[in-house]
Amino acid sequence: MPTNIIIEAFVGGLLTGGIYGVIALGLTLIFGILRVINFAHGEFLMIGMYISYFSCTYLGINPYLSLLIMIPVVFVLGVLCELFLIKPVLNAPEDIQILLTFGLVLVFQNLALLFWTSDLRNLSTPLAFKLITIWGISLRLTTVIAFLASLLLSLAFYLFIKKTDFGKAIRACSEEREGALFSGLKLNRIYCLTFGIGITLSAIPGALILPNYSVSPFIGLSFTLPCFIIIVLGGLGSAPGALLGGIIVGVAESFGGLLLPGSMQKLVTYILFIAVVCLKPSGLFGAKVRD
Amino acid sequence: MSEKHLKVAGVLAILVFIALPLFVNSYIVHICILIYSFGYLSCAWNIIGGFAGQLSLGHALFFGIGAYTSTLMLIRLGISPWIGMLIGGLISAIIALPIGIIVFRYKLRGVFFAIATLCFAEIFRILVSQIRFTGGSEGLLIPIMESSWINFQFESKLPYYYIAYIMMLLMLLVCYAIKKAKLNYYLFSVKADEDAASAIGVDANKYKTIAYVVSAFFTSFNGTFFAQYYMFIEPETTCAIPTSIDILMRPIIGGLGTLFGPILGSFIMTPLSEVIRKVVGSGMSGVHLLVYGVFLIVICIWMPGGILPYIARSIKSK
Repeated sequence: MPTNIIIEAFVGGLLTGGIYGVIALGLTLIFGILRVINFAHGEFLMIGMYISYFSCTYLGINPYLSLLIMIPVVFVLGVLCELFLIKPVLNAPEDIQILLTFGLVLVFQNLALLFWTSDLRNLSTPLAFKLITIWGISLRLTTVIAFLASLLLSLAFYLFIKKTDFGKAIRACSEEREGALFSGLKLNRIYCLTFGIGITLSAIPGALILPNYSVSPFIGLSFTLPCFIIIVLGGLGSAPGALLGGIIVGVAESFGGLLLPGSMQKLVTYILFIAVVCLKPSGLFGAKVRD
Repeated sequence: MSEKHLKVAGVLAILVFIALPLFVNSYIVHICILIYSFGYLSCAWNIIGGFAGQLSLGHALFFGIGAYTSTLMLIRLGISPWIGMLIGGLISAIIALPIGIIVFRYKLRGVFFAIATLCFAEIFRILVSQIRFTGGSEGLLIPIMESSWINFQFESKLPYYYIAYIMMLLMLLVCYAIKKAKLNYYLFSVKADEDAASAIGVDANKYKTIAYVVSAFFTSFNGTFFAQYYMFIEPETTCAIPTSIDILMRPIIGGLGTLFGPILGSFIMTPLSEVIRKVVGSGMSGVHLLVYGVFLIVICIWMPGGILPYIARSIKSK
């Protein structure tokens, strides 16, 4: 196998990995604060992609401008879901929480199927075919943009969590629920805003990769699954772990794609999940996975 | 109602359903076959999902093994599906054993157990749809043979009706036996608090693995029944994610971990999903899954534990 193909696969995996990392960051944020594992994470991302797709095709705007429409819609959707569906089960056993978010998966997937059919939709913009070449490696321009934007997004998120008052409130809730309550923080408000932020954080990379990605009602799982691998690798609730885990999964999938025929590529993610959760249940950074 | 009344009502119900197909048309008989068949699957899933409290999202794996084993043995070797059914069950159990040992040994619980089982089922689906020996993604047709019990093929729906009915009742007996056995007490303690159970010397992994293997063994039988009833199997309908969802939805809605909850769930959800399929037509295939999702959310928020425990509670509180 020629070296430059291997290098291209590696760099391609690296770029996808950074994008996965931000998606997983949203999942891990929600888990860290609400202590709820959101099975429907990929479905929110799918909805976000559809919103972007339709604002591009119907309004004729640039895919990146569609973020201005997508972000508020998805944020409100996340907040509403938390208020009406997640909040009632916040103190329920874990099984109930899993089943509830799994119910959400079914509802979102099949509503999407009903309204938008199972057709694969992709934006046929000329942007998608632009390649840039660095040191002899050709990369898709849109993937590079999505990667850089993801890095910026995680940096912005880091500053938000570290520097702003709301970020401090979020951290306080994650570290000491009762203590935060005693110091007058409104937990319910923090929970629903956190859920909204987590969902939006994950939906943004989805919209960014839209120019060279086809959206269909069933793509949710292909993002949820890597996210779960990532948070196990990186440790639940760990932000740098999410990014590093994302890169590991991205590169592994990319090499899997190189070695296996198209219809069998998904095997890599499935096998990786089983291997990772079995062999590394405590995460790369040693954070403990909650039982 | 006293316990005696309930027993009389139960016996009467069993007799009514024996006589039922003599009075209704073949579409109702078909719905009943599906109700019993999913009732059976729900009870089988309930052993791991309800009694042991481990939400398996991948029971399509064992359903698929059952369907493919008997069908391949029939097509390639000409062996009766009844024998294929038994061998399929054994293969399912043999495959469930290492999976159970691995996932429980590495302490996969909750969502991680659920997704790991989903991954195993998906790996199986991808392999089956890629290998030519198993018919690939086009699936396999069961060859039409003379209508007889040995061939597990009948022109009339009635034999299927009684097979499905008896299978469901036997499965209910198996679940009753498990519920009365010591195994259930171990499982119950593990489900309530695994660490505490381990502390008093209950080998949690062992009992969870037993429950998983038993559940897989019985799930597999219905795969064979499905193959012989529809005379056609393909990866997308026998071992894809929607099949796993079909299997786990009814016990959760009816009453997770209860004896009759899974059956109740099937009596509610099966006709409902069939009617929906009939009303909206084949063009919108996901509508019944949408309804499952709504039911699931409603159950989780308003009656966690399922419909049967909810009814039992409201009768008691009166």
